Amino acid sequence: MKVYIVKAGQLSHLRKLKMTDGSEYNPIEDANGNLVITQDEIDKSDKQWVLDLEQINYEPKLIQIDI
Amino acid sequence: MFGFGFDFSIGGGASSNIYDTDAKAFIDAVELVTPLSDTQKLAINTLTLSYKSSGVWAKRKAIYPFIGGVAGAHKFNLKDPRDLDAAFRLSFAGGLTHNSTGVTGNGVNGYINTHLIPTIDFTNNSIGFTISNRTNAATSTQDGTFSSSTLDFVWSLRWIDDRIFIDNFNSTTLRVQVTGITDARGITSLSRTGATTSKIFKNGVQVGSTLTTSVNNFSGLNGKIYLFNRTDLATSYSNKNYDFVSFGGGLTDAEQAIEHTIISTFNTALGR
Repeated sequence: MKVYIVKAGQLSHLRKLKMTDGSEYNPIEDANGNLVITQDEIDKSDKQWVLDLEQINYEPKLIQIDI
Repeated sequence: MFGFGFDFSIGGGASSNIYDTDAKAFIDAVELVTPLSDTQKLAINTLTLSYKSSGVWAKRKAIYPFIGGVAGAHKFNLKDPRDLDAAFRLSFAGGLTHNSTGVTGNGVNGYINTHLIPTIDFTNNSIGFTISNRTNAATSTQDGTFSSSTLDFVWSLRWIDDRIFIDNFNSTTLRVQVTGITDARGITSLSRTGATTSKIFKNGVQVGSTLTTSVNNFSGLNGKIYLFNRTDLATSYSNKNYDFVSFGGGLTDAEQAIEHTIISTFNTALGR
């Protein structure tokens, strides 16, 4: 799966935006510490700087779930 | 008694039908975003009237029929279709897909905030929810709100080891669970109707045993209830497809069966 890196300086700007359907972006941390958003979010973006984010392969960060 | 709204339109069709006032308010809210067909409007009307005539309407705080096929329409609560968090309007985040079968998570970062808070919007001994799920997957994903292993309200419709479990309100003494669940699809419900009565229902019928443990640690559970994830985790996102969700007080066995029929009838009318 492809995801897109949000750099530290871009995060606060992204937090203020909404996607074209009114949803919020939800950048998450991958296994390498990158903050990333997904293809679904790119598909619903109308901001060029978001569309230009660098694409990488997704490596999920594993967190122990308390069950 | 029910209230009715009147919509007199030239041209006939369902627009000349008489709609329940709550159904009409919901339809109006959705149609500000996307038009609904006559079939969809009539299904909403029947859904609303059925909830009311059965008495389940009064026990539900939020009902999300996921009709309209887009996020802007799916966010509305049938019981209070104002576009406000206080009306338990849904807020969507991350990668979610919206279409005629409801909302689907992407399993990476998509989730829904219901704005429902257990300690504010429910009571300790009357709480429940119903989720109609279309995806059969055994995954380590959960919905709900989590503070700690001694204070949480989370659930999994089918855990990786084929369990349904629902923590209300901890993961030890207050976990209701059923093993041997090999199909996550269908309508799953929790109903807590008393200090010693918590049950899981699948397609209107109780599965497993009634949890009779009586421990009151509900107070302090102040996190908002999420769907497709639980509030504390950046992982555990679900890829399931929900076509109907409701939250509210606990339902009796009979009410649970009725709500199952109401939802099934609604989805059948929509061809989904």
